[in-house]
Amino acid sequence: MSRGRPKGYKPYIDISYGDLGDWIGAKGKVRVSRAWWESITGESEPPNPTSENIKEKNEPQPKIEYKLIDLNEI
Amino acid sequence: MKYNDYFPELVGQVNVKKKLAFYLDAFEKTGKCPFLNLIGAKGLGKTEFAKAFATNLYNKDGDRRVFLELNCSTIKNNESFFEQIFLPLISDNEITILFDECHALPQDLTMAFLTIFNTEKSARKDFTWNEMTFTFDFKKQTFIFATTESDKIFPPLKDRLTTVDFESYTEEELSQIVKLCTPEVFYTHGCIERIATTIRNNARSAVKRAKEISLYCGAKDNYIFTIDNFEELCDSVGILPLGISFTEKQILEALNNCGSATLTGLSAKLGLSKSAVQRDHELYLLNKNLIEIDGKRKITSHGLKLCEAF
Repeated sequence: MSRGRPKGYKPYIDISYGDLGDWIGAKGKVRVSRAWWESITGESEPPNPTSENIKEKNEPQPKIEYKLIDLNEI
Repeated sequence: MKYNDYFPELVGQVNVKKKLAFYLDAFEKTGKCPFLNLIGAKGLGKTEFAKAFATNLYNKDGDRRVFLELNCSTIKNNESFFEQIFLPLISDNEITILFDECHALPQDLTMAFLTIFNTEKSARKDFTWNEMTFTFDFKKQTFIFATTESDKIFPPLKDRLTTVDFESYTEEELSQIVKLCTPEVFYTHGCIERIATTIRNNARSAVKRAKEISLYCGAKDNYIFTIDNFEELCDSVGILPLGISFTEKQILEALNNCGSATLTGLSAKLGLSKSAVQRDHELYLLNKNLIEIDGKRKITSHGLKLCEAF
């Protein structure tokens, strides 16, 4: 009886950065290797929030439309 | 309790009433309710039924629960939902929440709901997002979803919801709705049946027709409504047989004149986009068996008869 993963199985899939962002949001945290991060940024630590990030966070969210009905009054 | 007793003011939808009554009976004993997903075409009464369902849910203190109706297309992301809705209105409160047009939920909130509504046996769920924990208490909070476009709901979320399907209304049910909405009007013999033939198969159209009749009677200061009165009303406000619109009438006439047409040809004749013809105008004609699509659009014998009546 065969066991384990089927032949040709790959543990990883390729998706676009845009698709990933759609699902977890622009601020969602993704774990990456420190070595890879250092290789592309030259920095050893993740970035601190910049003034642009803070400004974006402080921007008011669009208003959600809703109706709140007290059913005791109808 | 009998199913009609829960919904005394709503006409038709017997299967919906039975299913909802079952969950109301269960709620009374257990305090639990599944996450309902009301599915049906526009105007069938999904919101009214959700509200009527909520009217029968009582808090521990015996008061009726507050009903919150949300338009999902205005929810942009998790942050706005938790900040504007969950924390001020839902958290710790006994409340019923309707997510209307739930196919338009943003993707990050859809993902959050996959976790939140994956409850197994527990009536509580803690959801952690952005380093904060939000507690959902399903004995205090009842969640109802509604949509016209069930195919656009993310399938794993749909799997977590209990579907309640709405059906079209019969002419008799549509007549009842018109009568219920115009208690001040007396309809002469055969009049209400004649009116029902001009109502599109949904409750909203029946309510709209009732309002037109009410206005007509008010303007004439005469509350005895005859078939002749109705013909006059049809002429004044443009009510066509079977309740078809003027654009639908143009489609029938175009097909009657040319025999058959492609979608592109039809949209060119009418000066409308192809998607507008498909989504807004053809469906009702197909539903009423007035046209058929067999590669090309063709008028049926029913459609020909209706054209003769114009």
